[in-house]
Amino acid sequence: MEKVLSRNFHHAQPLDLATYRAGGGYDSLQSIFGRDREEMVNELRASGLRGCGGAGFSTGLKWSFLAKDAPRPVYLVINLDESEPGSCKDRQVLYRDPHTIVEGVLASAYIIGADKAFVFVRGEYKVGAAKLEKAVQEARDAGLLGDNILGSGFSLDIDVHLSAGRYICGEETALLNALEGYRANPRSKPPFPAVKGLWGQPTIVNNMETVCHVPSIMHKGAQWFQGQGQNGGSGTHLFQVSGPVKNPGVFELPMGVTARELIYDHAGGLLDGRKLIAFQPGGSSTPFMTPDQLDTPMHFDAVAKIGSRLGTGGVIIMDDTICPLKYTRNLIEFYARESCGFCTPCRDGLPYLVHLFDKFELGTATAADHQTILELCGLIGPNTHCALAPGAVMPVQSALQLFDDEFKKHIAAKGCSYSPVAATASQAAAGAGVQGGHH
Amino acid sequence: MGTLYIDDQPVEFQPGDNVLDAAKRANIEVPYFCYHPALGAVGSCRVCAMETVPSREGEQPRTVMTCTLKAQDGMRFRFAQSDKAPGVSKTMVEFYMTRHPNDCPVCDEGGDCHLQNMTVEVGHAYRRFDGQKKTYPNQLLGPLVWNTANRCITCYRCVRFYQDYALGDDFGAMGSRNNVLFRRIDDGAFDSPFAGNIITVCPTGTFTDKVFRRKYSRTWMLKKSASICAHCSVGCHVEPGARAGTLRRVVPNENSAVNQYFICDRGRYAPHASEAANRPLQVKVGGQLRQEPALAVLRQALAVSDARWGVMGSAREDVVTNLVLQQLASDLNAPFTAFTDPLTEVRTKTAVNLSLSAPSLQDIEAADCILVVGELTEHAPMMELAVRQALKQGKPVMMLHAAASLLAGMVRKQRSLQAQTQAPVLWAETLQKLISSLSQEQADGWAALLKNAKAPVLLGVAEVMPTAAIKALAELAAVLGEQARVGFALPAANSFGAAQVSQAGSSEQLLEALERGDINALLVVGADPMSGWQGERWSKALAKIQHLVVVDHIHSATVQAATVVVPSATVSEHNGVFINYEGRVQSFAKAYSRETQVLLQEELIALLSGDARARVQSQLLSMLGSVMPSPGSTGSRIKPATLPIGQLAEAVLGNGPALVLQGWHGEEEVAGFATELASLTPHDSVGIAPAYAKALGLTLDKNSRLTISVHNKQLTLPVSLSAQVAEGCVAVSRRAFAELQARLGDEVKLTAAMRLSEEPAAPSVVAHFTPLQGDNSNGGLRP
Repeated sequence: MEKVLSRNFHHAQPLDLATYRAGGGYDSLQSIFGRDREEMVNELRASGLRGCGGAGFSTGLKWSFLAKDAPRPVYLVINLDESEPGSCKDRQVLYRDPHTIVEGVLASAYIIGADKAFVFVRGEYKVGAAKLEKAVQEARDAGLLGDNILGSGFSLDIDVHLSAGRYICGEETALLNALEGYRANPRSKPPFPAVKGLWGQPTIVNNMETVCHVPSIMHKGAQWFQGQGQNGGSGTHLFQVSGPVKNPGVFELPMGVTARELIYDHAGGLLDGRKLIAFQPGGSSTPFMTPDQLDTPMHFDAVAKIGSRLGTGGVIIMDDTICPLKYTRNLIEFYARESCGFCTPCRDGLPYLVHLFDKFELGTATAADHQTILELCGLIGPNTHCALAPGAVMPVQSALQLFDDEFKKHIAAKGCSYSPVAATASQAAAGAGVQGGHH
Repeated sequence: MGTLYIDDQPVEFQPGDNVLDAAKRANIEVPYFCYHPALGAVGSCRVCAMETVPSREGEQPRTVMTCTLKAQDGMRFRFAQSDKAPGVSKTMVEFYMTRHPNDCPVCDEGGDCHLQNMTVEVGHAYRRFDGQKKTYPNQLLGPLVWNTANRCITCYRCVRFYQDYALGDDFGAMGSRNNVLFRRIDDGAFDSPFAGNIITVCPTGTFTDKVFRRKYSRTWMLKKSASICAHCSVGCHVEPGARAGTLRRVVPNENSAVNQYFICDRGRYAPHASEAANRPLQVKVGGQLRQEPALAVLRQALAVSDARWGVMGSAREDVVTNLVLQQLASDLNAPFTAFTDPLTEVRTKTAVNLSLSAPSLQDIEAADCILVVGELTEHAPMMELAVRQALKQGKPVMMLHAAASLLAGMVRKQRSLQAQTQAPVLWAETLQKLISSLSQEQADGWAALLKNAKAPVLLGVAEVMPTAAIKALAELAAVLGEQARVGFALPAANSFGAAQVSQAGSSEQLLEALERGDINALLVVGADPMSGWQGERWSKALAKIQHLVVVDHIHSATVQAATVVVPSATVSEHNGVFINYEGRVQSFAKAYSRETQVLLQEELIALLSGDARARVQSQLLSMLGSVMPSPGSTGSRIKPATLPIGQLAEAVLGNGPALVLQGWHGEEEVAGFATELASLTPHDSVGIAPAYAKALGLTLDKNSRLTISVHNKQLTLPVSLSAQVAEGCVAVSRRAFAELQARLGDEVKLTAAMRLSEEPAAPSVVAHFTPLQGDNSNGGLRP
């Protein structure tokens, strides 16, 4: 396997333009500029590149939705609002090799024929945004951005936009609203952004990692990209492992590496004396996987087949020292807090779930509450305006299946056996957290 | 057109309908919150769920939100028959109730509440949520709207009306998650003239009518009627609600042809003038209150032997009243007019003659290019709301004006709006130039926009437009061709009707007859000549006569000078007919009776001789056609013959600054007596453009004051520097005009006066909102 995204991570500082080019940077443009756009989109479809932001939709297919006679201007928007707990891959590229992003954006913008590109950077990545801004300026100065780039007749500028914050900006239409200066509420779909996106113009929204794969695919071919994967996956992916492991971090590995290799070989396995109970394969909104599923190849289809989602490839480990209910409550509280407040099931349903989980921690829960959680998850998930709440209830539904006995134990024991003291903390949370607030 | 099926029942739909629209039209009771027919749907409440019926094998039924789903032929849904959909609706209401305080017994909305209805409809009767309810701080929103934030269910209707429909920007959604609050950044009254509509669109008791709250009644105990708003010439349909002989509230009445769903704040709050503490409610003769029937007193007063009578009707009284008065005048052999000001009479009649194809509010909304002459917002707010609908769609709107206006103030935010300031005396010339550049092949600027439009609309404000400009605007429409429509905001609710009953030059003739001493007695019904544009002349003339009999329901200057005061009914208290700016005949019905003796205008007919009564009948018939519209129905439009108009000299371009009117959207003769609305009246100031002040050699800043001298009167006012005031003009309020006894276009002298203290200006909230005496303005909460 050849490192693509992390090939320059061994340098202490992000590379400047000259050094980056010396290592073959921007060479891909020669195999892109002048080539037929439709052919390139087809090659992308053949390569099996899929959206790395979590949804795993075929990138080539998405780009083919853009009408050939689409009204001008067409925008390319890069989603670098990486806010999903457990995900930290885009951050690495942003901080350590911003020219990879510029090259990826430039290549992708050429292929879709975009007139302008925006990179929407998570508010907390302020330092990284400055590094990217610097790289963009270097590219502009070298004529790699601007009018008539390298004599190709193609013109592009990149606008780096630092988000004002909030998780929901990662939803593509909420991101577009935020970029336009409105509240970051998701829009109704249809129309999809490819038809009516930023300022009503056709817009392609892609995750940063996705576009960073484009130059090498164009340079080395779809076949080469497929060969990078394993066990049915295509290309490489920046996997992340967090939680009680010896070597947490970001690893560029072949798509389709098994979870066991990822967690035990690369992340060093669990801390001594800890036992793996479950893990989330792709960020906090993905259903749990269990130790007997460790040999599942980590690629979109294989993970989907066993009922979970690869998501961003950000693995979160749950070991035997943490209460699974408390773990789940923590997730749901995050989503309740990050709801944009637009639609009812998410805005008012998620805090309701937090309240019910609190009852388990406090020891006041009954079997009816267990039933209510089950029922509400089924009603919140499919009935919301966007994908935030479905993502929020998915791990809950998974926890309800996997840890059914834990729920019952909490009811019988009137509280949590993992950390009885935690009850006080939860009590405080119940008073001042999502349910409480403003008195 | 097409058909879809809900529970196997065929439902017809129109093009553009969503499934919910169609279901509602077919009287299927689908629950909903965020949907509103005027605002559309955004899919935020998730209550209007139905289940799809799979059309192909292997397809699974899905729950869908019908408000955001476009209706298509042959779609099939399960609603009542569905196992899933009712559960979704019920759970959404359950979610609302985890925050809603369930304070229906003490809530103003209780019993007339969409949330209550829907909660009952979906069957959420028992609350299983046992957590703590979240509470939110209320916000003080001035004297008209009351906020109870806890009741909010976050349907976003208020902000969608305020921002998206009415293009306001001082109220919005703040915060996120279950902490979304709909409010202004600072406490205080709204900037928008349409803010009261958030009460109408709010499906809960979050926003309620603060004036109603102070004299509250459960809404089902109110006496209501289908009425017409009496506070501008648009003639919006309203529903007054009264109890125990007093008016409690006014709400918009839905109708398809005029205002549709909304009314402006003037229409909502000005009717409370009927509850003003100084309203005449008892007959007063020679300064003495009498316990006698109004009609008898009036008959007696008219029977005095030495009187040579004149009769004055009013453009704010209805058609029948004016016709009766006209015939009464002929019985008494007296001159009659329905106008207090000769200039206004000429301008109104000129505009009426040219209004035969005036655009309705829907025509304005659908226009693809609009030219506005004059400060429309301040004279006919709902007509301007229609302009905003076109503006919202990016249609070009051009505006020619002389004083600050809310519409012109939107020029920075609305890219398709262009505003130009100019002294009114120059408007006719500008319009003529526009006409001549239309005929050129290479028309540019405004001419090009108008020429390329398929349905242009031209709107003028008759009261402030010189007659030549009114004619020029109509000529412009004629040159543009049949697709162009021209309409005028007239000075009062029944100006169109009043123009039909007054002869050419009638007000000037009556005034001159008084000044010559030909008549020594005047009957005035519903007019206040002494505060109008000719206040000075009327005051002098009326001071000389022995009998001034005034019938009115406000404590006007003329009432105060009267020898006999007869209290009359407000528009909510009697029946009548108004003709709006487009010649639409609309009748209104009495909502309630006052407990004291007030004269109902329709009783005046008893004063007429038999012949005169017959003449009233026949005139009414010839004017309105054979059909008298029933109250609440949308009347048809009349196209009367051209009215004869006398000649009158108008202001010409002078050397010095000319006075123009700085209007306010809450202002009107009667509205000034509505305590709560009038408390928002902006402070008087003299508006002048910074560049013009400089040209006059005046160095002004925000602490400057100017003394305005005209004729023998002087008035000193703080300066309001505004680029929205035209060069060559200074803008002052109606009150300042009355105080100066000045007329539109009068040339004035400006001198610098003592400056205001240099202390920092008080926050604008305080300036905006003077608490009423005894007003418990924070609603019983201790600060």
